[in-house]
Amino acid sequence: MILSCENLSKRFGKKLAVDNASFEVDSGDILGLIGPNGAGKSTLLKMIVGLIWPNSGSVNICGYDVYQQHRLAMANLGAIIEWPAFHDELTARTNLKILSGGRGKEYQQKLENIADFIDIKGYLNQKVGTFSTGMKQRLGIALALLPDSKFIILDEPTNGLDPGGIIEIRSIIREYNRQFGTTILITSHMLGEIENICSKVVIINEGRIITSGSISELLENETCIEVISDKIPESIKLLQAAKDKEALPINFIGDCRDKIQIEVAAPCAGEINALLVTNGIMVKSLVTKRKNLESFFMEKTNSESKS
Amino acid sequence: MIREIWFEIIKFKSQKKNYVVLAGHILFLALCYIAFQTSKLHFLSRNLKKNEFPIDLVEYMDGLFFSRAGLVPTFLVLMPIFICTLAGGVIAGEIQQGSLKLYASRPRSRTSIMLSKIFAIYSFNFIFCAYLAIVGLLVGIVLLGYNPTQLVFSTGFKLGNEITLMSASESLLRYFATAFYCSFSLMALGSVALFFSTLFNKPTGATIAAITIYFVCFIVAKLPFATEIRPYLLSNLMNGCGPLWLPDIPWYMLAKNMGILALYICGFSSLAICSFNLKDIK
Repeated sequence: MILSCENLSKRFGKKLAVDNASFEVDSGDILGLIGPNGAGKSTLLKMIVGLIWPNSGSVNICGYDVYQQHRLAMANLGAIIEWPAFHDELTARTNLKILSGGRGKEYQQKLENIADFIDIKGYLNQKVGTFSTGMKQRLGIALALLPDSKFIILDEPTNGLDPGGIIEIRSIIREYNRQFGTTILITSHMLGEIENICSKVVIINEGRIITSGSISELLENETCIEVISDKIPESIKLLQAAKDKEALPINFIGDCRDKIQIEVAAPCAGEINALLVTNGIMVKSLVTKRKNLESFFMEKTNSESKS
Repeated sequence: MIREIWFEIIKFKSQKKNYVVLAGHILFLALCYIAFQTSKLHFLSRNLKKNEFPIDLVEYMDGLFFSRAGLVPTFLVLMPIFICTLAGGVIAGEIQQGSLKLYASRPRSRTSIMLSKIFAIYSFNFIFCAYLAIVGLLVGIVLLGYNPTQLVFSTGFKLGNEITLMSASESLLRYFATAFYCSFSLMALGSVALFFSTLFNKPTGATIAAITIYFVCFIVAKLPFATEIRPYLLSNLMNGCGPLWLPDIPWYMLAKNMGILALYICGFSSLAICSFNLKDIK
C-alpha cells in the first residue's frame, strides 16, 4: 500500500469540508478521486500533501506519516494540486530546479528524459509566462515526475485543455504508469476520462466518501434495461403493477416516451420479457446495459444529497 | 540552506516591482540635486547664524555632503516601503500566485522554507542598501566633486555636537557604517512585514499592515507624552544612526539600539515561523 488515509476530518469555521475520510491506494494503481464542486476533493488532496492540517486523522505515504515525517513522506511523492502555478518571469528550467530542489548530473539526466517523454524539451529555456495552458499543464506533470516519485497526485490535469491536449495528457499518464509502475491519484470532472484511465475510484460528496473500489466491480451489478415495445404506456402499467404486487426489483428512469428505461437491482430481463409477451405486447427490443461511471456517479451523489 | 536562499534571491530578482525603488531613488537624487543647488545658500546662512562657525561653509558643500544629506530620507522613507513590499509578498504573494503549494509539497520543512526566505530578504535588502549608498555617493561626487575635509551636520539628532570637521576617509567610513546600520534596522521592519505575510493571503494586506505599523510608530514618537516608549519604537530605532556622526561615537548607545532591533528581528521572525508552521495553505 502506498497511501493510507485514516479518518481524516477538516473543518473551516462551521463548514465540515472533509468528514472522517478513509481510503487506501495500492502500489501501481491509477485511482480516480471524483466528486462534485465543493465536495472536498482539493481539501483532501491538500491534507494528503501536508498543505492543510487536519482536525483529526492521519495520512501515511510509503509508510511515513505526512505530519510527523513530512520530509520522508514527501520524498516519495510528486504532486500538482489545483492549478500548476509557476513563476512566470523565470524559465521552465529554472522553475523546475527551484520547485523540485533537484541538483547534480543525475537530476539533469532525469530532467532531459522527462522533458523528452512529455515533449517539452524545446521549451525548457523559455519563460513560463509565454506558455499556453497546455504547456503549463505539461510542465506541472514534469514537476510531479521529476523527483523519482513512487506516487503522483494530479489534480485536474486536463483542466483548460482542448480535446487534443486531453488525449495527449491522458496517454502520458497511462504510459508513465505502464512503463514505470508509478502509482497515480488523479482527480477530474470528466468522468469518461476517469473511467478510461483509472482502475479504481473513490467518490466523495459533501466531504464524505460515499463509495470506493475498482470501477469494474462497482459497475458490475449496476445494470439497466432498455425496452422498446409496440404499446409503451400499457407496458409501463404492467411493469408498475408487477413491481408493486410481485416486488419486481425495478425502477423507471428517463422519460419513457419512446423506450422504457429500467434500472434493475437484480437480473430480471427474462421475467420482464415474459410478462410483456404473455400480456400480448410485442417486444421489439430488450437490451441489458452496464451503467457507465457518469450515471453511477450521478445516482450515488444525488441519493447521498437527498439522504 | 544556501541553495534555498539563492533560489529565493533568483525569485526576487525576477520580480519587476522590486526595481521600482531604484527608479524612485534616481528621481529622489535628481530632486535633491535641484533642491541642493537652489537652496544651498539659504540653508548655510541659517546654520551659520545659528552656530557662528569661523570658516567658509560653502567650500564644504561637496558631493560627500550631498550623499550624506540624501542618505537618511533614502533609508527612512524609500527603503522601508521597499522592504515592506518585498517581505510582505514573500508568503502572501506566493499563496496568491499559487506557487507556494508546489514549493511546500516537496520534501522541505516549513521552518527551513521560512529561514531561507528570512536570509534571502536580508541579503537582498543588504545588496539594495549597498547599491543605493554607492549610487548616492557616486552621483554626489560626479556632480559636486569632493573635499578632503568634510563638514558634518548632525542637527536634528539633538546629541550635542551639531557641526564637526573630519577627514573624507573617516566620513566615508561612517557613511557606510550608517548604510549598514540602516540595512540592519530595515530588517526589523522586514520581519514585521514577513509576520504579516504569513497572516494574510494577499501581499497588499501584509504590505499595508507593515507600513501602517511603521508610520504609526513615527506618529506616536512625536507625541509629547511618549517619552518612556519612544526609545523602543521601531521608527526611532531605525533613525538611531545619528551617534555614528559624533566625534566620539557613543558605542553603548548604538549597541543598545542594535540590540533592541535584533530583538525585533528575532521576535517577529520567530512569530512568522510559528504562524507559517500552523498555517493552512489553501
